[in-house]
Amino acid sequence: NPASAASPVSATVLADITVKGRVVDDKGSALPGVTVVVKGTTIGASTGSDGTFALTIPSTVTNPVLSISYIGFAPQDVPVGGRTDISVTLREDAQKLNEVVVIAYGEQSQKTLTSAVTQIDGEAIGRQTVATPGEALAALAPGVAVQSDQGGAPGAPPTIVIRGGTSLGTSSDPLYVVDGYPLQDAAQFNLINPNDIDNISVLKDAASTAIYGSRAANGVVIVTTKRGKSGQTRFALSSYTGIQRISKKLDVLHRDEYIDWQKDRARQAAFPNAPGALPPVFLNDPGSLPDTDWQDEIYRDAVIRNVQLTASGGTEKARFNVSGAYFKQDGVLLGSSYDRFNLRFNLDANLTSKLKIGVSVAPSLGIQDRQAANGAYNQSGGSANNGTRAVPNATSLALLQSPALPVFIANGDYGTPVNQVIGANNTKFYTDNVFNPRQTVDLNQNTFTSYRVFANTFLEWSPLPGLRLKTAGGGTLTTDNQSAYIPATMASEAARGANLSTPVLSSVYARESSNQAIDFLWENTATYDKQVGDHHFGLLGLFSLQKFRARNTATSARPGTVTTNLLENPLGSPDRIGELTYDQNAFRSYGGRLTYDFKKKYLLSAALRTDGSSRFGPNNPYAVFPSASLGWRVSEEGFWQGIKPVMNELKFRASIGQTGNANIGSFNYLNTMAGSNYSFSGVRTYGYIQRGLGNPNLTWEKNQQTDLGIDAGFFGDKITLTLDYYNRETTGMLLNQTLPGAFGFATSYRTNIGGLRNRGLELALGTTVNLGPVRWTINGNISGNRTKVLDLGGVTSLPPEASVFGWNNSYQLIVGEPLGNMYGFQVLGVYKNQADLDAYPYAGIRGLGNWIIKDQNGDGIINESDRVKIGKGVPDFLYGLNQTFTYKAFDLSLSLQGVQGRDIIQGNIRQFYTLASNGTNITREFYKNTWSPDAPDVETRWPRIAAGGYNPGTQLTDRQVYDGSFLRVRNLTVGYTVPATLLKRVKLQSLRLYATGQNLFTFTRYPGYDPETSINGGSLITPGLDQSSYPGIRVFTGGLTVGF
Amino acid sequence: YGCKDFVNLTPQDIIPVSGFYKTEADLQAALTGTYGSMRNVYNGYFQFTELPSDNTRSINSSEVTYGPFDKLTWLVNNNNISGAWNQHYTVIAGANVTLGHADDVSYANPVNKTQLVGQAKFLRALMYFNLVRFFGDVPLVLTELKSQAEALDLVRTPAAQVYAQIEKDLADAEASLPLSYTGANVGRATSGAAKALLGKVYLQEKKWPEAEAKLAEVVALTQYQLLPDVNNVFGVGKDNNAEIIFACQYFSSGNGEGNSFAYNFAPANANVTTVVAGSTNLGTKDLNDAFEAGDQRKAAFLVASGTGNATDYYAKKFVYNVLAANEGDNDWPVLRLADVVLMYAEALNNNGKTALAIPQINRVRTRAGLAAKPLTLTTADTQLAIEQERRVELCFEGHRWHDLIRWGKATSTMLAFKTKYATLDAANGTMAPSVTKELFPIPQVEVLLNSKLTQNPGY
Repeated sequence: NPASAASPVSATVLADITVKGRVVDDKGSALPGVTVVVKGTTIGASTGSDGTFALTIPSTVTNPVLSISYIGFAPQDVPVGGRTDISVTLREDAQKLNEVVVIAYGEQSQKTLTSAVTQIDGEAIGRQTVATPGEALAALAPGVAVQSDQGGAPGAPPTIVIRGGTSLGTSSDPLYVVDGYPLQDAAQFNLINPNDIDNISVLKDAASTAIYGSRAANGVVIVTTKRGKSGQTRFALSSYTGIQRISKKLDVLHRDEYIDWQKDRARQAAFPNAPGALPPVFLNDPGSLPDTDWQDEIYRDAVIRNVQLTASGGTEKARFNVSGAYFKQDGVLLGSSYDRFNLRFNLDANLTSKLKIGVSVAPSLGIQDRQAANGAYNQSGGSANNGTRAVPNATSLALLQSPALPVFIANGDYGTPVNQVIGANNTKFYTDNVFNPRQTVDLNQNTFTSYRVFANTFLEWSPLPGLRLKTAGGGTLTTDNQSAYIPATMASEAARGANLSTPVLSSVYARESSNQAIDFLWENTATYDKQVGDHHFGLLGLFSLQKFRARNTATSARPGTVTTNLLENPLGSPDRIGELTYDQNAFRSYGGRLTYDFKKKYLLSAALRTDGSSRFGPNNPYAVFPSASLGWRVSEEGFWQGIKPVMNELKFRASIGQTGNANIGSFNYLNTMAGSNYSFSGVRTYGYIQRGLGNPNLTWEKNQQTDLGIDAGFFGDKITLTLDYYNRETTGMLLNQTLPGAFGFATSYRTNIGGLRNRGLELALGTTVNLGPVRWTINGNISGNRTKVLDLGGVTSLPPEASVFGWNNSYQLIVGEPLGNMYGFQVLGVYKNQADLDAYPYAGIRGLGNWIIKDQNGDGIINESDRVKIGKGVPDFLYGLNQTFTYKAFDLSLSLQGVQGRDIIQGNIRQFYTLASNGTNITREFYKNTWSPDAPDVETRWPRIAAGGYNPGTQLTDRQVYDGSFLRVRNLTVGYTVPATLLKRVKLQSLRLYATGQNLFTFTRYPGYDPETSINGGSLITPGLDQSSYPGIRVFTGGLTVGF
Repeated sequence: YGCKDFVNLTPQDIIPVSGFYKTEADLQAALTGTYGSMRNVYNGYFQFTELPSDNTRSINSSEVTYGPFDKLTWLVNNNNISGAWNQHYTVIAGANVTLGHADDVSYANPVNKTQLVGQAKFLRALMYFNLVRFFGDVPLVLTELKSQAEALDLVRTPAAQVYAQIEKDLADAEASLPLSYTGANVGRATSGAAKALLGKVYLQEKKWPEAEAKLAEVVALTQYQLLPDVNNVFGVGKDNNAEIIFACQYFSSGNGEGNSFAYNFAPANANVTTVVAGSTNLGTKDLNDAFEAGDQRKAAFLVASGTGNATDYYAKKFVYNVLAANEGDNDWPVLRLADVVLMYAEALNNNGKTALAIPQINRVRTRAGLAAKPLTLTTADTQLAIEQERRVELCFEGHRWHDLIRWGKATSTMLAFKTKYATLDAANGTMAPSVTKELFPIPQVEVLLNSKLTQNPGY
């Protein structure tokens, strides 16, 4: 190949030559916008609408070669050979099934693959304006569910579940492998710059994953980052800037309506705690009160920005790809933001013809400012806490806080229920723990910084053709710091009256924590590839050691000891508490794999892995995971040849294997001594008490999965189809077995008892359509997963779980039933008259305007036995449709994401309903649909104010469960590639301008902020629960990519 | 190479049980840990011993937490009941393990072992006394349970047998414990505490002669005194005073090892303290009205806030301006001399020694600034005088409910209370007193786990 020559030095002086030509497809149609470059130079041109191009080759270039490339077509190199008019026919690159896909410990041709693997092109990930690669995976691969944890919280990684979760007692996260390195957790994956990703392979069935043994039960996500290719060094600068906005506001009452509502309440004697205590100003002079839109006070239009500079290139001997990126996302919620800095340096070098090395170094820094946006209004839940302290939830408060309260009062303080004593008789009208949301987001400080260095090197020796011996060593060093600070001026449950002029020093909270983790891997593989006649063999042997150590330290100010608000860290206290915890685990693994095919027609693969892990109890130190798969390419048979023009490819494949889930925690098999101090006469005395029940049998969760698949291609792979059916059964599922209380030291212990089944179908379809000059690529996928609880360790159900506080028994796990079902009561309507009261049984206090609850068992009593299934948190199916259009220099891509057949419990309703007696606000929908004695015959969704019996405050019913299905225009990108002819003058190689809309439209019947929400993240037991999580966002960006 | 060891890791931050119980210090630490686990028991004790009675109420009655105890509407699946069951058995398990390993180590001084064993037995007896009063028959566990199977094999031991074990443990404790401790050991169980608890156990069993004899021994001990001023018995800085025989010790050191009741009982929305907390245990109007005119204890034990029917009566005995939820510094008195004196009077009166009983009542009355009862009272009137005195003297301390049960008056008192106060607070109309409520249900989760555990009648 003459083009590989470096800059030629020629003594011969020749004249520049001008070459023109035309590029057509195989039907002879002109192809516009084709890039034509003189190989080894920056000289290039684009074809016009008639497919013609013209460029000048300087005399310094010897043996010039034109590189002709166009999206969707196979690139061609055409030697000029002295010609000045060159016509080129490009052939469509419809070789989808011929592509090589990344699998565990290697690559394999898609044609001979016998397992279920979906490969996602990095381009589909990189074009999305999201903070984490995890978010970008939504709707791109069948069987991959991406559940955002907190709506649009900047930098919050989603939970990814492949083919349904397998574990109720621990995480169902897949294993992430980056450039061959198995990561400890998903957080490390989500620190990768999405634009550095070349491709992602999702390994789904046991045959593809079992080689990762005890960590493979939930599938494997293999990330390959971009690596250098030999050739001239190419620089690219890409950048986008945009604006984010909450995708919708909820319609709560404005001041005047709010006051009407409060008057209604007062009239209906609904203020048990403060009878008749409507503030006089509500009646006398409502116009003097502010009309605050609290949502406007805490949400903003926020900037999102990304800048990246990449250089790649090299020689045949050494190739590199270096990138640096800065991503910035301010949160639409005040006080939240995410900034991420990434560097990546990938180097590959051939030391000799048989010896190759590779180095990857990728430092990254993520800085996230978090605000509580999850759970109850006064006490956020779980991950939304600041340090160890629950803080008020601003997203919830913005809906609940009275519009008649000012944001600030005259002295500069925040307007709060405490400084608004406006009830009758000078009593408080508002509950003092419904805080000012603006005060929370302004003052609450909760910063996470994640610093990570990932480094991996390998040395590969090929002593014989087909044989490769590779040793790889690498490590990740992670430092996660959290800095939490709640100033004395922020009101919270610990200091309800705190304000700017009334700081409460005793409530100052300051905590700094640091988690340092080091993980290292030494992995050795030997692969041998051999073709003997029609027989092709591939062999893999591996041995690896991986060890993880983490140390978590934290310092906090002892409560009540801070005497100044000046220093924002624990040093502000003269008395501090330290914490120190460790974690460690180690894996020692070996295994092997055989792949075999005969004439690429009959395919076989088998693998075996043995894992030893420190996590397993001493009675079960080692685990063995076998797998096997078979494939038959019917289309290679002689009898098929007549069909081949229509259906060029048909492959049947089947696989079976066992995998494990080792996410069982470290040293969980031990029972321990826990500190239990006492004070004798005011002197602290240190003591211990036993905790837990030792379980030396503790082991990995076992999964057995079978997969039946079909890969098909039509009309020369113009249309491709992949269909998979799988059945995965989990046994020995880690569950907490409840112990009798009389045991004393534990009420439960972890053991392997449960069984769970996941079954599903996955379909992926792809096609490319050429409509004249328009090229249209469509990739669609749809998948459905069905779960069934097979065993809960002898009991038929586990203790039911509440959804939000007060709605008990909402989620039940029952043998024979799927996961995530919602249980509650069915509401038939409201009691509108005496006839209704006589006709229907009631629970608790009887009265007009109460809900009529369906007496399911007809026993005339409304009680717990009338609770029925009223919703399902796990969707029926997920689908995605990704399309790209190219027309001349324009390109357009459109990604749709769909979730169908999933319900959401709207937990805010409980707060609206129960707090209303304390002067909080409510949605207009709720107000307009509340039963009123003024119109007793009107059927309403909600019962009367302060209803008795089963009401939205006490019970979950079908009225609080909404259809959470949605179809979302996830990404729409329009791009324009400036013709190379125009760029020549400014010495640029390429320039593309584009505009992107992320989450542009969502079609749903769900009335909350975002149907994608789930405050329990990827929980399998309590999915589909919304109580004021971070609102969904819509993002508009414009960007450019410059090559030079 | 040492590949095999690669996955044999030693935990850095946990102490496996297998390495413990090797030295005397380990055993002492295990005993301290057992005392430590008792803190939970007395933080929540008021729910089961005060709220069901006519003495106190909870402002949280509409919510799931305390309302059922106030209104006697608890169900078999009540979490607080199963929580209390578990907390008591944690202390028992700690005591059992301490006793089980007591012979495994050598002691610097033989008396150390005697006292270690005595304290563990005292704690075990105290917990079983609570359990048998709460639940009736309960599984009697006296050794460490080492497997799930053992725990699932338990059955309910008849109450009489549980009482017999309590008496035996207390007799052993009485014999092996010192009369008092000095310095940083003050607060450990003493022989006086064992006597007083044994007397209380006998009284609850209505073993009047045994109760009289044992309580007489306590009354005769000189180190216990009724303080001249009742205001000095309770409050921060007054722990372990001469009137206290045994208390659950709490200490606020910013480590969450203080009590939670001081914070929980604090006002939810009044201005008694600057703390805004739970109001989980408030005196009722009935308790307030029960104090005789001139009774100094009314001002010492109650603090009224609000007006008219909306008045709340806070438990001044326990409430102070505590800043954090688990940082209350004051102790929970389990046994104190005023209780013993009144129990002694009750035992005497039931043994036909009314004339000897009345002076004991008067010891308590006169301290409160009230006139002495005449020595001519009948036995029945003396019983009523004892009931009145116990109610006001020991209010909020966790005696009322089981006193009412012992006197056979729990259900009748609460039915009368419901009728009388239904108009004051409509929520009282939902009260459901009945004889079945005199025992709590065996927690539903226990019955579901182990079908050999029968449920109490009526649940």
